Amino acid sequence: METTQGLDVRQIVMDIIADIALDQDLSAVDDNKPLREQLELDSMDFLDIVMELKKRHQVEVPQADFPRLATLKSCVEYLTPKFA
Amino acid sequence: MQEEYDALVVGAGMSGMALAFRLALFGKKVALLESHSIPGGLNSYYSRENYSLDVGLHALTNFVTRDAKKADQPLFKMLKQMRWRYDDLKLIPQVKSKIIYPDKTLTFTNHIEDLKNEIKNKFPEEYNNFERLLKFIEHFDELDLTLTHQSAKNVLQEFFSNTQLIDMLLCPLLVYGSAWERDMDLAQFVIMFKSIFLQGFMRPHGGVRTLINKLMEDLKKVGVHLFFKSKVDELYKDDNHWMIKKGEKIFKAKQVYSTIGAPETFKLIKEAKETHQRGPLSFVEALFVLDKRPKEFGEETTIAFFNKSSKFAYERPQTLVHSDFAVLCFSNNFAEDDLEFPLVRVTLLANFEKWKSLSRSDYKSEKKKIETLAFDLLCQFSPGFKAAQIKFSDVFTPLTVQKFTRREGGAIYGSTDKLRDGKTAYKNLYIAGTDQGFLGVIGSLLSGISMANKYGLINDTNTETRI
Ligand SMILES: Cc1cc2nc3c(=O)[nH]c(=O)nc-3n(C[C@H](O)[C@H](O)[C@H](O)COP(=O)(O)OP(=O)(O)OC[C@H]3O[C@@H](n4cnc5c(N)ncnc54)[C@H](O)[C@@H]3O)c2cc1C
Repeated sequence: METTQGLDVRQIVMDIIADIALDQDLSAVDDNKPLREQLELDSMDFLDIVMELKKRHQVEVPQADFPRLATLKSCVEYLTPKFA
Repeated sequence: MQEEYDALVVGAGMSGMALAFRLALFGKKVALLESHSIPGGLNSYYSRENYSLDVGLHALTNFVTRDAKKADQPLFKMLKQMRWRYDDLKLIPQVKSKIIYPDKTLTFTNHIEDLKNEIKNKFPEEYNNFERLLKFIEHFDELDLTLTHQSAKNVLQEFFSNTQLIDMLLCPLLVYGSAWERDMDLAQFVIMFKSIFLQGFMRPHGGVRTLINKLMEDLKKVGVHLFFKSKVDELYKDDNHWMIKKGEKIFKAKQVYSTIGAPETFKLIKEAKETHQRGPLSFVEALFVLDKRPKEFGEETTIAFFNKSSKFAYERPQTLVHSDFAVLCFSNNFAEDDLEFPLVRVTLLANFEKWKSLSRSDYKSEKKKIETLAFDLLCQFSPGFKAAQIKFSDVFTPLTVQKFTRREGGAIYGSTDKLRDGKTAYKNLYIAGTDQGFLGVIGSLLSGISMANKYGLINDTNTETRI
C-alpha cells in the first residue's frame, strides 16, 4: 500500500516537472539527489511546482516547507501524508 | 452590466500578454484590454503592399543555445514560466554585429570570446581590464530589487582609462536598453551586457508574428478574456475594487496591472496622487525592401551601430534626428534567412517635440528627407547598396509610435523613473512592462511574468521570492 502511494506521489511530482521544464530529459532522475542541480531548476520553478500542486491536487505547501521538496525522495516523504 | 474579475490587465503588448497568461494559468479570471485591434504593442506587425512587416523588430536579446546551462538564463526562465519549448520560437542566432567608430570597429557575436579577441587586438592595453570587468559582471546580482541607482559610466571609468572603449561598449547597450540619456543605471547595464554580449542576438523564424501567435494561442487556452479595440479611458475605484467602464460594461476587479507606461497610467486616474516624468528618447526608423539580399551587396553584418563622429551621444537630438549615428539592421543576415524578401532597417535617434511642431505638409516632406538620409547612411556604411533598388519603403516617426501605442512622446523605453517593484501609490494598482524597468521584448515578457508572480500568485502561497 505504502509503495503504491509512494509511486503515485512520485509520478504526480514528475508530471508537474515535465509540464514546467518541457525541454528537460527526466528519464535519468536520481531520487536521492537535489532536483535543483539535476534538472537545473530555480526558485521560480519550485514556486510553480508548489502552485501546480495546489491547482491540480489542492495540496498546500507553506513556504517554510519548501526545502522538503529538495529531492524526489523527500518530496514523496513530505507529500504522501498530504495525499492520504 | 457589471462583470467581476480577479485582475484587469491594461495593454496587450508583450508584458501584458505574459502577465495575463501567468495569472490565468493558475486559475485567475483575467480581462486583458487593448486599445489597438491587434496585440503586440511596441513590437507588433502590419502589412503593406503584400509585404508582411514587423513594426520594429531588430533582434531579440538573451540568445543561448538549447544545450547551454539553464540556471540563471533569462531565456530559459521565460520559456519555463510560459511553458514553452525551446523550439516553439524557432530561434535563429545572429551572425555578427559591429560597433563602428571613425577609427575603430569592434565586432561581436554570440560568443564572448570573439569580443575578447577584438579588444585584445584593438585595445591591447585594456584587455586585462576587460577581463576584470567580465568577472565583476559575472558576480553582480542585477536582479536584486533593493539596489540603488549607480552610474554605469562611473563604474566603467574605474575599469578603463580609454574613454572611447567605454563609449563603444555602452553604445549597443544604451540603444537597446536605456530610457536615460548618455548613461545608464549599473544594474540595467549589467542586465544589458549579459543579454547582448554574454548571451546574444536572435530572431524568431517568421519574426515577431511567431511570438505573438504563440502568446495568443496560449492566452486563449488558459481562458483569458480578451478585449481588443478597448481603450481604457479612466480607472476609478470604490472601497475594494478598481473599475473600468467600456460602453455599457463595467469591468471590476481587486487588482489592476497596467503595462501602458507609468505617466500614461496615472493620467487615467482623476485627481492622481502621482504624476510621472515621460521619457526623452524616441526614434525614427526607415525600412527598405530591396531587390536583392544584403549578402549580394556584400554585407554580412546582422546589426551595425554606425557612428560617424568620434563621440557617441545617446541623447535627444536638437533637430528632428541625429544624423551622425544610426543602427542598421540587416534582417536577412541571421544564421538562417527566414524572410521572404530582402529587408534593411535604419534607426535614428529623434526629437518628438520637433516632429510634433511640423505642419502636415512639412511632416510629409521631412519624412521623405529622412528616407533619403537613412539610405545615404546605409550606403556610407556599406557602399555596395548604392546599386540597390528600393522596392518598398516606409518611415515611422515618434508621432507614429505615439499614435499606435499611446506612449507619450513616442518614448519607446518609457519613463526615466522606473518603478522597479511595480508598486504605485495606489493599493492593488501595479505597473508592469517597460516602466517597471525591464526593456525590450524579452525584458517585457519577464516583467509581466514577475509582476504576475509577485502580486497575483505568490500571495496565494505565502511566499516572497526574487525574480
Ligand atoms: C521601432 C521599435 C523597435 C524595437 N526593436 C526592438 C528590438 O529589436 N528588440 C527588442 O527586444 N525590443 C525592441 N523594441 C522594444 C520593445 O518593443 C518594447 O520594449 C516592448 O515591446 C515593450 O512592451 P510593453 O509590454 O512594456 O509595452 P507596450 O508594447 O507599449 O504595450 C502596451 C500596450 O498597451 C496598449 N495601450 C496603451 N494605452 C492603452 C489604453 N489606454 N487602453 C488600452 N490599451 C492601451 C498599447 O496599444 C500596447 O499594445 C522596439 C520598439 C520599437 C518601437
